[in-house]
Amino acid sequence: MSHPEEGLIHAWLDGELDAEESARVEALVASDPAWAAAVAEARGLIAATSRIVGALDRVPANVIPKTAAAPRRAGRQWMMRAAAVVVLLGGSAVVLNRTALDSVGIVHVDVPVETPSPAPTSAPAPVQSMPRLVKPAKPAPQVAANGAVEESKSNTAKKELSVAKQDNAMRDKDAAAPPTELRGDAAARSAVAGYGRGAERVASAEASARAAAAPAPAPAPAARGFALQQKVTRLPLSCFEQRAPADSVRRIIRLDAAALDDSIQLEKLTLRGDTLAAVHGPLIAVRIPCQAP
Amino acid sequence: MHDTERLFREYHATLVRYLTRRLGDRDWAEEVAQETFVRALRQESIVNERSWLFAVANNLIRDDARRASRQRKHLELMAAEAREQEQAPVEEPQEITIEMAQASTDARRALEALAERDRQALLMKEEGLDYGEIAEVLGIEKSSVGTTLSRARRRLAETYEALQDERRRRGQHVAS
Repeated sequence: MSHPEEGLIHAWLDGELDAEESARVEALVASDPAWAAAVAEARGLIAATSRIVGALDRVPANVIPKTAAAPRRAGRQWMMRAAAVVVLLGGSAVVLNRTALDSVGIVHVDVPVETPSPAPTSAPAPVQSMPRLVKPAKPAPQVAANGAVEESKSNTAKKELSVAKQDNAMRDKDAAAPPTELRGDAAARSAVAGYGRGAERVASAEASARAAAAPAPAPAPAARGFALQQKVTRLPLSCFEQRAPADSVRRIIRLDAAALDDSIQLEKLTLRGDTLAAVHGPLIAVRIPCQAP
Repeated sequence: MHDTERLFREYHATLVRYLTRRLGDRDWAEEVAQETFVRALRQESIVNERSWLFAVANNLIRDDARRASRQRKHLELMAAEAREQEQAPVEEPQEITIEMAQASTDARRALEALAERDRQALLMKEEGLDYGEIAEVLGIEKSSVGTTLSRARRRLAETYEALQDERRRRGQHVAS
């Protein structure tokens, strides 16, 4: 009479033993009452486990409180008015050159004429072969409708976005504000920013439509200080290659740090590591080295 | 249908359920799941899809736990589409009794009483992963998965029963 091996019995009941081992266990169960009892117990444990784990799913509605979106601070309002948001889903190659923060924001968006790429004859280009996560959905608005951006439509391939001049005084106020005045998510993003490989740069959509997002945890004081430093120090352009929704047109999105920040602040884009995504759309793009425009 | 899209359709629901059970937070679970699929998008090739996805999700949870500044967001469209595509039968809102809510609470506490590896193994088994996949995700020998699961199941059941007994005793005490 051998002592029942509990692990072996569970593996047998889970159908994970090969034929030989399975036959051995079967013989033991048939001939040894201790093994038979252990199998009966194991069956009970497996059933109980499924029942208990299933109970985890019975969460009554509204019992776990959804965290309400954090109240918008007054300091954010100027940003809503002044920020230029560029979320381009429908274009092809997009080049965004934003002038310095202190100048009048005339943003030139060059949209070369789209020419459908021929079907690949040999190895498909990386972008064309990239999978997409979702089927193309309705495109997100190209420009945030916050009154700050006006689009002058043109039949030519070049568009100009006229951006309202930012309020220097308000911006200076923000720059001079103590770290605690910074938005938590901006601070947290910047704290982990760095544009280096592996650096995790997380942008939070603070108030999603269904208000299901949790509040951004308050950043550490050191992070805030770093954020403040980054806020006033312009970072170089970041370039992203669109991967989803998949189509035959290669798209490059160029955003300088300020434009990217604006887009994130307005919950149009999120940046997670090297992956740029639209909050409410199927856009996914990954960071690539910037080429000269 | 593209490969990643197929992955999403095939494993999204399973992964979200696993993560929700593990984290006790559907929103967080969906966020982790979506990030997992973003990683899949960037992956050249995946040999064992299911174990790869679960391993990445587990790593993301671990990383999230380490980051004090973890923030939450949703790629709502993807999740909504996934739910539509899963074509789950529309369920009537289930009436949750207080007993069911208590059972859920006890189940959560019992699960949290498990060692991390045991908890992962148990929840992955409940999602249908086989021993090879579980071993791959956890980085353990396949031959030790049975032992891990037997320990986890026993501990879960015993803790849960103890919690239920305690609750019953408290109820009797209050009644008397």
